Amino acid sequence: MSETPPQPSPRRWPITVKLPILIGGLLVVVTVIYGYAAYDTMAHSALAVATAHLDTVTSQFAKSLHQSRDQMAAAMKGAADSAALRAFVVRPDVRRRTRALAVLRATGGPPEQLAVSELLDTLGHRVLAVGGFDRWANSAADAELVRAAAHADSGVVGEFRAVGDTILLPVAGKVVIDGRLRGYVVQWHRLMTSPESRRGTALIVGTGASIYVGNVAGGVWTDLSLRASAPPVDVSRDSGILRYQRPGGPPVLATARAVPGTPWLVLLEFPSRAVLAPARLFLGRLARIGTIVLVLGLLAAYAVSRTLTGPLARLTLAAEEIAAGSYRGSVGVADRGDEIGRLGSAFETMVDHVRESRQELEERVKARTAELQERNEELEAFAYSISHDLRAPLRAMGGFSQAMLEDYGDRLDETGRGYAQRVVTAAQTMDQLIRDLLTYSKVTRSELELAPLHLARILHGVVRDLEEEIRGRHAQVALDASPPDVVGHEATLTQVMTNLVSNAIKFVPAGRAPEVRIRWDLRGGRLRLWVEDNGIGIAPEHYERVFRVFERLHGAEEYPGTGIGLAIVRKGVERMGGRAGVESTPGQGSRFWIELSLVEERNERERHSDTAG
Amino acid sequence: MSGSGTAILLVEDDDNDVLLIRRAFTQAGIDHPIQVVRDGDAAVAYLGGTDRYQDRKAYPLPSLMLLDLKLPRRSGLEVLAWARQEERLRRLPIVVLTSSRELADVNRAYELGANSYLVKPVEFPQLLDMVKIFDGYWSGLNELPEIGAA
Repeated sequence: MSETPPQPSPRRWPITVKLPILIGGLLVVVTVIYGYAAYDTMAHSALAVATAHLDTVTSQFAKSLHQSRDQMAAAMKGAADSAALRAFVVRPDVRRRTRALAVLRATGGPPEQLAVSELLDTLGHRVLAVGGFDRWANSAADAELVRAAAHADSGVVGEFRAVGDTILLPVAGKVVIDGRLRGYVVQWHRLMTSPESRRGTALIVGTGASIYVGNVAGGVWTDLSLRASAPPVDVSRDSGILRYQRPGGPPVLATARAVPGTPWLVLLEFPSRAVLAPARLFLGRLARIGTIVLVLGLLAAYAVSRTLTGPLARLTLAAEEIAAGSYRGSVGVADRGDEIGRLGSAFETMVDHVRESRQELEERVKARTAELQERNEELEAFAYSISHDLRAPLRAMGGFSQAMLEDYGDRLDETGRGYAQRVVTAAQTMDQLIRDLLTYSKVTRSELELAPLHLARILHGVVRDLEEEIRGRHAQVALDASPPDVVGHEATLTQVMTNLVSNAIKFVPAGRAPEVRIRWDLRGGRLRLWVEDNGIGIAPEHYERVFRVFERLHGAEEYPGTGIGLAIVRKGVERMGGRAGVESTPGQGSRFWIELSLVEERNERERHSDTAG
Repeated sequence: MSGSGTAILLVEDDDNDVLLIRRAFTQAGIDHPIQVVRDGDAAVAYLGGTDRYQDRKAYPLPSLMLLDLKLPRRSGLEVLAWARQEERLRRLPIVVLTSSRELADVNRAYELGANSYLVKPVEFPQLLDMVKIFDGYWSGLNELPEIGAA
């Protein structure tokens, strides 16, 4: 099972950023939705108004064109029915010709508008003509025009025709004498509008609008003075609203309408922008107002979030102070009437409780420490008393028995001298016992200041101090080279190692020369120091027993001792933060060990605790 | 102790110990007279030459004092402190001879101006060894100051 490394928690935004963003976002969304809806409504109504206007204007214009057509047709009928023309048709002579030409010239409005006015025979051939234009003839269109005139009671108008920039419009009527068709009158008018009439047109259609007139069949379009380009879509079919854009021009709304009794179309164009201008103006205003509202909203949200997070920040600071153990004074939010105020007062109550219980705890610890101190002092006094008073009678027992042996030994028999010797030995044993007990008591209760120790020097010192004993028992003590330095208490470690080595020399079967080896290895970052002997060994069931106070496995006759040495070893090693133990093969030897921290590891730990603190 | 006449003052309340120490001195062949007082007050009186110790012929000013710490009345440490304050006794070599191995006692004795600190051995042969070494050191090697002159 593999552990997944902890994911770094995503960075959270503070409330003072989150709340304004939320409220600002809401404001933007509301403004956009409202603006879109309002703009859409306004644009729709503006479009409806513009459509109605277009429709009306186009109809009006178509009607007025229709009226013009009627006038032209009536004028044409008048000319065709005139006596002078008829007379010329019946009998053309010079005098009648002059009068007929006058009629042709006088018909159809101001002379500058009249491009040409002519009399044709039934086959379409020109009989008479007035006017300068002569090369526009389009025989097919002319034929259709005269055919239409032949079937109409009154005059007819034909399709517009472009000659250069000039737009011409034809009017035709038939000449009938005694019920017989005798010819046609055809006039071509230049399409000219005076500035006055153009102003009038502009008044009708409104500013920004453009009006065009053209043929239903297409081809020729005019803005009523000059030739104009055709619209980019087919306008003859649809009588509804058209939307298109001329090359290089703005998008427009347009309506087209056929002029009744003519092959003409009226086309009115209105720029979409002009239609939507009020809606756009509204949208611009809304955007400005929305921006102001957004800024005000953000400021308000920031202010509100500050009033929320300010007390929270103070609470956090106070909590951190408490964690550091240095809180004093109030948070200053408890007098608020709202939820944060309640949180603040609850916090302060909690702080009071914490402070009280901490004080109580401190007092109890102090009392307990004083009690322990007192007990310790009592123990020390007791130990002092033992050390001093118990040993004085021992000195007397030992000393005077010795004196008796020396001064009166010759007057005692063998038994008497033996008794005196036993008193001396017993006194020595008891003195050793008292000394060991004092050492054990000292190891148990005194403060041990742990420090890095030069282990090799201490081990050499131990072996040197035991030199006499080692020589006396013909023992060999081997010391492994250069053990690493450990952490411990020098006097205690010396005592511990002295006890172990001296045991190793002591517990050897009679007749065997003690061989002791002190070696070391590293286990789990700690040093294990072994004292190996070739002694009597210990059965596994006694491994733990030997480390207890007063526990002995052998009689004092066999191996003299107080039974405290190994208890001192274990207690001393434990006080130095280590462990002690034994392995053994009974009859072949024991391997006692102690474990202590290495100097490097201790430095490591201190670095850790430094950074933690 | 350049001469045989210079005295050693032994401050010791335990009769047994007095007897054993005297015996050890005798066996070691030390012929300095040993003056014995049994408690702290008596030690102060002897050194000050007051009460029954006014006769300096009978109770000469010692050239060295062996001082037990645990004494009736004034304790050994109190005697030590007092002696170090006395103008005439400031140079008097004072050797503590006691049963206590407590480090606190050792430290305190040296702080108050003890010149040496010996622990009484239980076994007599060891006491004898100690007395021999003591004499060899203080009478043989060591140069003693002049005592009693202000």
